[in-house]
Parts: sequence; C-alpha cells; structure tokens
Amino acid sequence: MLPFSFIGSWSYTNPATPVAVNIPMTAKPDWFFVKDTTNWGAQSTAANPIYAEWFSATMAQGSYLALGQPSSTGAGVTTYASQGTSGGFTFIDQTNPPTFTKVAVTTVNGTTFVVATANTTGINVGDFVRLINVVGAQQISGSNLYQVTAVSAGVSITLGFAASAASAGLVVANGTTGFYQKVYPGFFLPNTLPVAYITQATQAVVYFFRQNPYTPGELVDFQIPTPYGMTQLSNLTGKSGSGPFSSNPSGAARVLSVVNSATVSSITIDVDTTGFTAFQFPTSAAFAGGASPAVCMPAGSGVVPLNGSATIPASPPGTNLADAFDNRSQYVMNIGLSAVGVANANMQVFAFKADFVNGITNA
Amino acid sequence: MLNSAAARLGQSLRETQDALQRDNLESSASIINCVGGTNGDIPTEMTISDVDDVFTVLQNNSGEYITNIVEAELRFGTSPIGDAYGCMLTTRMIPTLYNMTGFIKKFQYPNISQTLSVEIGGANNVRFFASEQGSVSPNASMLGNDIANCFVSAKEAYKVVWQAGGKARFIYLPPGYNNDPCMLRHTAGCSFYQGQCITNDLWIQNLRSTGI
Repeated sequence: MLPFSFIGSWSYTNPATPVAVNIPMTAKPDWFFVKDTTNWGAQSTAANPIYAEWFSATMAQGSYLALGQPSSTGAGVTTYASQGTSGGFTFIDQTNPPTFTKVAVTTVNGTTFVVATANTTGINVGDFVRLINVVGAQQISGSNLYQVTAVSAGVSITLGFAASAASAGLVVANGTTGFYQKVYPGFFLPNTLPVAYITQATQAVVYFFRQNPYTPGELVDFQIPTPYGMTQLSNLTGKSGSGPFSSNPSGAARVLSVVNSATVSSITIDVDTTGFTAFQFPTSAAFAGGASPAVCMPAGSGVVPLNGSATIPASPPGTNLADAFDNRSQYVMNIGLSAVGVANANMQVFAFKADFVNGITNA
Repeated sequence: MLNSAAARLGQSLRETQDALQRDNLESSASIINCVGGTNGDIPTEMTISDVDDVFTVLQNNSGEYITNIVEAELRFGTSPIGDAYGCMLTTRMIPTLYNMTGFIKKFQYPNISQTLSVEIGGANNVRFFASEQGSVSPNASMLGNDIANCFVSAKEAYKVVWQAGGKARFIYLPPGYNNDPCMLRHTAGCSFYQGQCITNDLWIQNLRSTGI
C-alpha cells in the first residue's frame, strides 16, 4: 500500500493547433487533471475543454471527463460536461508500452513516403509507425520504425525522414495495400537503427528513417547485408585482413556531424565510400525472399571533432560523454486532443497517488 | 511476513535487472533475420541453417565460445554438443526449437552436469537459454507477426557496470514514516543502480525469428 501523495505539477502552453502532450511521471497516478488557466472564467469566447480529468479506479486508458465553458452569449459550446473513451488520458510505461491495432493503408508512395489511409485517429507528428505487408514494397515492411512528419486527417500520414532519404538516393517502388501500426519505441540510447541510404563520398552521409540518437565524436559500426550493396562498410570494428570482409577498413567509423531536423535524419562519418559498391535497398521480391536489414549500431566513444572536421579535434579536446548507454524509459501520461485544451492556452497539470482505491459494493 | 516480502522483492529486483539487460541488447545489438524457414514471413521461423549462419558470423568476428564441448558418451538417446555460444530467448520459442532439425534437448545431452535450469537445449554450436521475460517485438515481422529477438552472444560481448554503493539494497521502514502519523504501516522496498553496455558489437547478434 502506497501512502497518498501529490506526485507533481506541470504546465504547458498549447500551440495554435493543439497537439497531444506527454507528461513524465514518477508513478502511475490515481487522479490526474489538467486545467486551463488562460481561459478560466474568461467568457469572451467559448472554450472546450477548460478542465479534464481521469481516475485510475473506474476509467479506461484513453478516456476522459471534461468541462467546457460557454461564451457570454452562450454560443459555441453546447455541451458543458462531456466524457469520452478515446483522445483522453493514456498512461504509458515506456518499458512495457501498449500495443496498437494495425490500420489499413491503400498506397505507399516510394518517393514522397506519403501513406494513404482513411484512418489517422491517434496519429500525431512525431509518432512512430511500422509498415506491415505492403504489397509491392515489402522491403519497407516489418520491424523498422518510421517517424511521422505530417498528418492529413483521414487522408494520409507522411514519413518525411524516409522521403529525405529518397531525395538523397533511396530507391523504393510504390507500394499498394498493407497496414501501418503505431508503435512506442524503446528508450535505451544510443540504439541500433536501420539504414535508409549511404552516399558514396569522401565523408559518407548515412540517412535514417527517423531521428537518430548519435552524437559528434561517437563511434558507429555497420552491418550491411549483401543485397544492400555497400558491404565494404560492414564490421568496421573487426580486424582488417581477417574474416570475410578482409578488404574493409579497420576501426569503427567516427561521427563527424549529425542532422536531426524536422524531416532529415543523418550522420556524416569519417569513412571514404567513393570506391565502395553503391548502397541500394533490395527489391520487394528480393527482400521477401530472405534478407536482413542494413543497420548502424553504436560502437564506442571517440574524439569530438571541431565543427565536423575529420582531422581537427574540438578545443579543448575531449571525448564524447553524450553517447553513453542510457535507459531513458520512464512513465508518461499522454494527454490526447480531447483533453489537452484549446489553442494558445496555458495549461496546468496535477497528478496524485491515492492511499487506497476501493469500490464500495454494499454501502 | 517481512521475510516473505523480502523474498518477493528479491525476485522483483533480479527480474528487473534481467529486463534492463534485455532491453539494452534489444535496442543496441546488430540484427540478423532468420531466412531458412518456410513460413513465408521475414524473418522466417528459426532453422538449423540460421543457427549455423549466426555461428559463422561470430566465428568470423573472432568471438570466443562461452561453453565447452559436451562430449559423446555411451548412453542411448544422447548426442554431443559442440563448443557453443549462448543464445538468450523467449520461452515462446520453445516449440519452434523443438521442431527444428538438429536441435538436441537438454535431457538428450550426454552429461547435464554443466547446464543451467533455464537451458532447454542446443543445436550445433549454439546453446539456448529461455526466459518468459525474453525479448519479443509485437507485430514486427514483414507480415505483422511477433518477432522473437534471440540474442546469440560470444564471451564478454556485453557487460553490466555496477556503481560503487549501488548494488542491491533492501530498505525497511517501520510504522510512522511516509504520511503515517498513526503508525499503521510498514514499508519495504529495494533499490539498485545498474549500467549496461555492449563491449564489442561484433560479438553479439540479435537473431530474429518468427513462428512463436
């Protein structure tokens, strides 16, 4: 039995178009509420909700109770009190995250990576999805996670990081029917990531399907299966002259610079790939016939470069501490769009843990 | 009562340590898909050719064996086991392994004196250790089936770092603490610090399989 406790208080400000908000928690709350401190009592315009809450005892994940506020003229809000079973509060243990049902897609554009689907419920920019059994594009189906960069409600989601890789050279045929599924990723960082594309350059640029965890100075290694071409970049940590990759360079690649923008995820490494075999994704049929993913994995700490230089270290020189293995999983309360509040509102959040939670059956 | 609580806390603590190490390997190890099976998925269900493939990869990478050979003996129904790497996987893989050609169940070893209770058998040069906490990625295959992440490790491929003073601690508080003015409640808990890392990315492989 845990003693009653006030877990904490948080605040956030909604943008012009509100998005779901994740609140980090130290425990699963039994009572959680969020209150609009901007519009509370200001009746010049209607606001819904200005208050929303969730109880652990009787409410399911994703549900909510909410209060709206009518304008002084009574226009706008027609429902003062409301409740719902989705778009509310969802508690997430990132070590054991919930799973989501898969959703049908009708097409996947292999260049723009716009995924056409009639159902975008619960999908927000920044979410992670995987693609399942995409006919004609099985090479992008499976365990790989893609980050959503745009959502057109009820029409499509856009996987902008993949599209940026396609602009750089990733070639994937258009897919037809299949599924997407929302996924909460793991939070052990730095982690292994599937590679989307690698350029042939004196300092190769490696593209990913989602934002990457790597940092300048970090050492990384690769496992590039034969169908992907650039096998010369595999097993760099191994000793040159031994094993099946005897002509590969020896020593892990050093990350010189990192890009993690809204739609581009890449690292530049200190390996000259101009003479290497071109990197290419296998075809859909070749992948379905049996293939492993091309991956980049963390391989140690190196000297931090000066502004991306391959030869000049940062001044004062130092090694990279930001690349240490770190478990960043935590408890999170996700506040969905039905509870997160209205545009531009300052929202105050409170969470409590109960001493006991009982249902009285014979009072 | 306190002894019972301490025992359960001990189990919880050790399972938490296992889960942390599992999550570390799941996030950071290199990946090989099983492709030798016939279920039409990617990865396929694990077969002996996949076991041999990952064995070869670790051999090519100068990975050192974890266990020594279990030599043949004059006992009916037994088979020897080669020098082996260790594979840690979910108990959901047991039926797949039992159906795998070339898999030798632990009770078919010539000698089981050097085995662990969680060991379920071996195939050529890999021995398999199952846990209900083993890593599974839901719906992550090409066709949307669950994937078992089977970590095949050579010696010293990864390590656990203990912080000074951070090993397991049992914390008992008598009544009167934590908003308990009437002194009604005891509390017991445990804490520890633990860091994980892969020491050589070539010496551990995530052999992914469906069929679970």
